[in-house]
Amino acid sequence: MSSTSDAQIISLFHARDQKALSETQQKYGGLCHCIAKNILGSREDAEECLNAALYKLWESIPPAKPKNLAAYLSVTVRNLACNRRAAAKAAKRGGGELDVALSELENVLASPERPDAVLDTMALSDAINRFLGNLESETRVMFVLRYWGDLTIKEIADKCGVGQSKVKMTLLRTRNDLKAFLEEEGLR
Amino acid sequence: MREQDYMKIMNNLREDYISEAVSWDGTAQKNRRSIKRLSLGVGAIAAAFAVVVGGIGYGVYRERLSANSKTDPENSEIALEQLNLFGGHGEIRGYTLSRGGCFFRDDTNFYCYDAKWAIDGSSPIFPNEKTDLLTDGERLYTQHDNTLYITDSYGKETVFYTPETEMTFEEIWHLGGDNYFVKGVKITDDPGTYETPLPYTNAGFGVAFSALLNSAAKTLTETPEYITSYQISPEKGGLYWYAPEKKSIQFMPADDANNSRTVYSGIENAESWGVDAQTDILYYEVIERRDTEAGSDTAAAIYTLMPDDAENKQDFGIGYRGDYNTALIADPENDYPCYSYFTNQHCYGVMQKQTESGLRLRVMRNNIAMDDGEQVVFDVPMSDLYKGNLPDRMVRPEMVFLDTGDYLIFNLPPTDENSSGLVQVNLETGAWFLRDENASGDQPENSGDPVQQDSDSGLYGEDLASGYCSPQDFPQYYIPPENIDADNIECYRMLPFAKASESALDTAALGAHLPSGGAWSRRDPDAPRLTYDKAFNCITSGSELNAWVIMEELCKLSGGYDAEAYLNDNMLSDREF
Repeated sequence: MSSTSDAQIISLFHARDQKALSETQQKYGGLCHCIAKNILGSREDAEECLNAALYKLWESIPPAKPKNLAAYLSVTVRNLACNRRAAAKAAKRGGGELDVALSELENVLASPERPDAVLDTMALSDAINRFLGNLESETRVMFVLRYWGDLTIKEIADKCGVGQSKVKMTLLRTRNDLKAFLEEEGLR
Repeated sequence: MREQDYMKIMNNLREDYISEAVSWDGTAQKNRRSIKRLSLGVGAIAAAFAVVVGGIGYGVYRERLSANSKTDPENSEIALEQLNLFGGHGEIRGYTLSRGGCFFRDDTNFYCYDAKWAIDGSSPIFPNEKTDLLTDGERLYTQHDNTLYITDSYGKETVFYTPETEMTFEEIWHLGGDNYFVKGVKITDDPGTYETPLPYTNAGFGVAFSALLNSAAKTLTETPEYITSYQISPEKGGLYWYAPEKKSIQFMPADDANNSRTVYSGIENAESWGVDAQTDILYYEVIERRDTEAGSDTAAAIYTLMPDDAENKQDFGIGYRGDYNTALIADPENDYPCYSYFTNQHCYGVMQKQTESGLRLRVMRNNIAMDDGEQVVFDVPMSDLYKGNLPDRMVRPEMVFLDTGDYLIFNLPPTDENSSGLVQVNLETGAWFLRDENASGDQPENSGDPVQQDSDSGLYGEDLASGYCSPQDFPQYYIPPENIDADNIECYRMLPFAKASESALDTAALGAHLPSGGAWSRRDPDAPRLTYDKAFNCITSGSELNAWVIMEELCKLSGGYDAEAYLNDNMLSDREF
């Protein structure tokens, strides 16, 4: 992993030094590749996605000066991957970890007794954000990595430096807590 | 739910939560968390040992002492006064692990956290339940009632230190005179602090601390910041410690926690380091990119520094100095990077080496300065060590070395296919033993007379003893078939991996713990929250014998016992949800 700081990398972008791209890839490429691969289900597609994201970074910095380069790149990669997936699969579900994550969360976010109910996605997002705000950092991180980043259990365990059982248990309890929270809020 | 709805919801998560998640550094967080029995600096030996112990299965207790137990007829004749604190024989000798932690031996066994095994290799690894002993390498310590005691091998105690607030100690180092360096956890009721499973006081929450203790003045002075990477130096009357934010190694005098001074500066992301006490030279290893003819690659590089001379960093070379491939960067097609591990006295080099006969794992041992003629203490084909497919590449393994001078014990680097195991090497004869459920089972090369355990034997074919329990620890309980329907059972024990009795109770799936007396209590052993009957009914009437469903149910019934802490205790990473 690169020891170059984010500030130094952004300076390279501003100086139009292409080393910025290699440093960014070295530092954050692994995580972003995981995110893209788990959405797209294909290593090759994920690599293309990452390359496209790096190109987008090159185009946008400057003038952009992201406070958190990791997050900036991750969001860019995820958006590209999601768009690519949507274009390829339309409304059908494809393969990959995203399906697994979705299947874990769908009965939490929506009541199985009302499968046809129209979801108020904005209200749910707001509620989830409030719910996340009350969690301990590590728990919140695991939730976000799983359901926003679509990382596998093992990838989350490796990143958080814990065992896979702990990740599974944490996510299980968090899903149960979220379900109860949404019921209290009347959103489920 | 439609996929696009799910994506819309997740796309609107707060940016700061996303930033937090993608930037999360698990290793740094682990260091700041209270670390029950994991304060080993370089590696997580408790995790490694726990995986090994859990994977192999538990054998029969033959050396347990309990006044409340239904005694095993074979053991009833053992005189209590002959057994030491571990239930073994002979004086207990303690050893400290560099950067924290400790282990012990007596006449027969090694004891390291929750594992014990015969020194001569005649036994597999058994659970060790006496896990509350500490040592500074000279004396033994135990603790209870918020007091640290000096103890002899048989339990005769004298008060050493009573802190003013509730805390538990996890490490103690003697810095000379009345001065000690200690690490532990301060107990707090505030759930906003880090939640931690605590081995000694059953408290639920605590904050890790490091401090200087003066046993004569009875003072405990916390260090300004929590110290994770350090090397004690009694000869200089203090300790060296790595200050990551200052990118330096500081020296803290034993009697003044607030007066550290920078000794070695310009050190960033040191993976491993050690100060040679004779020359004051610092040796440290970093992972960095280096240019080669073929391009650039990462490598484990060692540098040296003299005190107060940051400008003159010297390149000591790649990895451990040894007779491996002379290429600047290890060629992935042939050799792999060699990683160095520094302890207070030694440097260990670990490498995979490609030879004509195949891939081998080699461990070298030397003094810190590596100038005393390296000793190759282990050189074995990888195929002898690991079942299944070998990895294409071995990432930097987290390893810990237990070095008694006559034996060297270390954990095998785990691979994607195989869990870690233990190797014990007799440094005088070169004979070695492997303790790992994935061992190939063949007679390994370069061994003396090792005991090959049958990895399929489950419980080692021993009859299960019944009725042993300890009011002090968290024992596992077994329900003998004849007791399933009994009313008057004083204590039970369930062994994991034990097959169910006729009641179809799958204790293997449960791995549950029930303290003595049948009560389910984590916080306070004297105030049970759940009677045995209720727990038993929960377990036996569960509609699905899913371990975690039942565990959650038991947690709820016992008023919120923290199953997550239980998981941390037991590292049941192999269990299925």
